[in-house]
Amino acid sequence: MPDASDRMSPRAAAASLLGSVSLLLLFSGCRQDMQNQPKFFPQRGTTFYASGRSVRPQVEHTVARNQMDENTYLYTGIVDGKEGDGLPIPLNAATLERGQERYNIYCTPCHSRVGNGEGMIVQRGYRPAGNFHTDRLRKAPLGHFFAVMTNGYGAMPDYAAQLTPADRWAVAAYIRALQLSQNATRNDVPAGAQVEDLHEIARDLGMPASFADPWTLPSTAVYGTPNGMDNGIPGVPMGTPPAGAAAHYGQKATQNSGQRDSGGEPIAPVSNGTPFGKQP
Amino acid sequence: MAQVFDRSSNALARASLVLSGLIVIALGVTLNSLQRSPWVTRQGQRPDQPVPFSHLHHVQGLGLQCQYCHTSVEKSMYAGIPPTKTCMNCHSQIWTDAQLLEPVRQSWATGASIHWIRVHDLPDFVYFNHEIHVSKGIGCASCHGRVDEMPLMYEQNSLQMEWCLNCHRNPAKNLRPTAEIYNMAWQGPSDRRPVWCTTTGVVGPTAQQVACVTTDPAAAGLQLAGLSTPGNSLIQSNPLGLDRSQTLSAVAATVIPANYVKFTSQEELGLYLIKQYHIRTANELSSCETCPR
Repeated sequence: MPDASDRMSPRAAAASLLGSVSLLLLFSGCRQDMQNQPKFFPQRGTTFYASGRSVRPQVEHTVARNQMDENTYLYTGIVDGKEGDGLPIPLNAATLERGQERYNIYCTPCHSRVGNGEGMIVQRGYRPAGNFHTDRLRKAPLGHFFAVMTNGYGAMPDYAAQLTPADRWAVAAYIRALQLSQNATRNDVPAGAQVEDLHEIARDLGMPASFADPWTLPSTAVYGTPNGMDNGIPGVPMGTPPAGAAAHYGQKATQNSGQRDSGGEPIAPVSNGTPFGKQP
Repeated sequence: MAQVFDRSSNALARASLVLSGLIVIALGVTLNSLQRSPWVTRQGQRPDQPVPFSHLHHVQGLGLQCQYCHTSVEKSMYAGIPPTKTCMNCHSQIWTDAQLLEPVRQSWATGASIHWIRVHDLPDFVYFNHEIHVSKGIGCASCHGRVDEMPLMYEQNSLQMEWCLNCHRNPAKNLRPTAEIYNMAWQGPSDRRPVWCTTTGVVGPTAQQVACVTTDPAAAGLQLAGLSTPGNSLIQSNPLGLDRSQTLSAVAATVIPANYVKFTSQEELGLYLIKQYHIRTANELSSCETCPR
């Protein structure tokens, strides 16, 4: 640009300068307040409130729309102070599909897709999640799963914000379906339906023989605690796990904790605390 | 009196006329490309977030689904940045002593929000709605790119109006079956990987009116039939032996309709889905009345 204006007549230089300035003004004018309006926008924050949040929490001791009936079975899963066993929403294929979809999103990280409680987050060191295929949880009423999703349980946080009550019931129904499917026998299959053994499918796909077996926690499952150990649930006394838990976790617990540091002898068994979901 | 200007200045004057014209044009071109450049659009920029959150690790490494954190994507205009509680769902026990997570723990302890820097920031006069896009066949990756391969979040596309219009003028090139919205690895059908779709006859949300599979439904008929078991004996299985990137949850539908249509190109599938999903053309979208707010 300086080279060009040296050779340029003063008038042309002035014209081009004027042109560029006006163009700059023109384009800088494009950036207006409309881009960033002072209105509230989800999660943007505001200077209007001291907390900086444009989304206001519900005022305490108030009832919002649709909150009137939140002490009914649909919202609590509790009947007469005990966990009920009924499904307050219609049970059909759509419900189960919805339950499966929601389960796969929110539950699989810990409980895994088959519900054995050894999902990826548990493999990375979260407290072992509940195994739906234990006797205790097979016999648990449907309302128990709903209540756990609503209020949390042991190390599990609640998922009330992620799942609507209807979705929680759908997930509970799907957990029942999982329990039935993982405990199914050939007698449960209608006549004429084709049944294939998972092991045969795995073999046909060229997978190793153990591919269709129940999986175990890897030795890389570590506790992210400062001392590298399971320190239990804060505020909950550490106890010995009940017999059912030992039967299910005993072998894996050794594998899990055994090679955590040096690959040598087990340093601390993983079940020195009470694995979540194992308390009767 | 001596001439002030040399004779050569005639040529110089003419040249400067042309030159100043060229300069004006060059300025226009420069400003135009500047307006589309990452400097303005912020494409590819990775701002310094309070916590260097890695989608690569959480999505690809751990297999978390998009909606685990972005819970409102299918029911509101805004996908939602997760609250600190969602972080603490796992990080109350995992990496509890990691220095990188100190802002998360601070936020959890004090109740103050984490000030994330918004990467995909549309102008405030744009009423973009996530809900309608994910329920009518636009996948996350179509706009956000392969988020599962991004260690740090950045904007893949310019998010400028011409980019919006590019798709709205020809939605067919991006539409996919709604069961594949959250599949980051989805690729349009091709000769080698055809897709079969059918109408399900389901009354309800548009998305459920079409079911698509990636294996020949004629060949898989026996196994699919096995899924429609009566009563409560539900057998959870993966009858098609698909790998994760191919699995279509729509396969699990208990009703198996017969009339599948085979698609071998994205254009064909897109045109079919435009019809099935009732996607409006750019002309029909001329009024804001047609958009959900």
